[in-house]
Amino acid sequence: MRLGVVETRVMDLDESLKYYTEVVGLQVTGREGNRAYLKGWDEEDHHSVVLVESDRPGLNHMAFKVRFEEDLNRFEKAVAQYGIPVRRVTKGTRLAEGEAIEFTLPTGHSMQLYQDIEKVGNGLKLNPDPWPDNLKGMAPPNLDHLLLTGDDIKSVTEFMTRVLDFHISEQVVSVDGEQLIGTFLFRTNSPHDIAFIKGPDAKLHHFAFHLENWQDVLRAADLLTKNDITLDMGPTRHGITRGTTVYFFDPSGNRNEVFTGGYMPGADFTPITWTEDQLGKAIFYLERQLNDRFTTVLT
Amino acid sequence: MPYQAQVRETGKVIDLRDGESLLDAATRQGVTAIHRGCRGGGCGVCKVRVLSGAYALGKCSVAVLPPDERGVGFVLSCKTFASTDLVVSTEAESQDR
Ligand code: FES
Ligand SMILES: [Fe+2]
Repeated sequence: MRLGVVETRVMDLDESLKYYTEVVGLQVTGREGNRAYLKGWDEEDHHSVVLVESDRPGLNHMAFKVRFEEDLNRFEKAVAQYGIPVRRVTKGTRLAEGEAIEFTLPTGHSMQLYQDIEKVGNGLKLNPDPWPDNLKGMAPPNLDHLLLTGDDIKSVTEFMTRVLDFHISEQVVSVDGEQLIGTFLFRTNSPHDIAFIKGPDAKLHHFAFHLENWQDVLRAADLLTKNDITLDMGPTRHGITRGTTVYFFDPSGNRNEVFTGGYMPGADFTPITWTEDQLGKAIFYLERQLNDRFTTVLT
Repeated sequence: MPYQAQVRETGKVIDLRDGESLLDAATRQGVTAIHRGCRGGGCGVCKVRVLSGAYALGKCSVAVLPPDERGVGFVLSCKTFASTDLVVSTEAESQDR
């Protein structure tokens, strides 16, 4: 399975759409009621980001796309057997989406699995050019990963690895090795598709889009200043994943990231361990220290 | 017309430019008693209490600025635009900051 959709609450849909299309550079593929649907230019499915107007920001749910329709039945059983209640989301609940299963993680986040979604294509399948015309803003080809906070990192990691078959790329532990503070998990060949770090339950730390290279990250950071978008941190390098990054906020205060680089783990990858006293270097390899904002600003 | 905001705890006076949020003015003048977070009304770290003065408030998350707090003068300073001089408190008790 791979990360397919994040559904995020925003406080002003029009203002957010302007930001997500003109500064980030996603493409709008639909709008219905208080929801807008967007995708990156290289994504083939109808959407990867859903914005929902609300009185507060934060994550409604994230959805991973499974390979085959019958995988839904298999995971439905496995999740229920693990003791987590599962419900079916009927086709048509959201634009272009078919049936899905939904359950709540031990950290309080709502997660969905689906296979059926309308394909709109990327227009680059026959004798294609490397990128399409009319790209805007940072123009990420696709959604990359997300980081969530929760109290019980051990339980959520156990569930994700045992039941959903995620693998651990990196983990942060207390100096005595007794406590798990964060885990970075993958199901594709990316250094993280989803990550969890200790903090309040059911909160979003950030979701990230992919860029091709470091130069694009720098250019994305230029666009933040040009458009008076609030910078959080970077551009810099992560110790964890070895990727390069810049963090910033959407108009409702949801943290976004553009990310590139990092290694390509396989299922047999030996996890990397960081001790909590080295967390500064783990997160921001160049600065070697965290700041309060990065650890306390959540939506 | 530009106004001023005084921080009760330190006596520090912040000049507010036309159309400038309380947080942006504080950041520009190096006033760190008001913390800068998301600048989007979403995280609550910039929360202060207005003790006197009038202001307009932009969209603020009800999760970090619930109506009861809003009713007694708590604001998210990144979404606070003064329409008179203000006196603010950076240490007023709030459930969530
Ligand atoms: S800085 Fe986040 S709510 Fe004001
Ligand atoms: Fe990230």
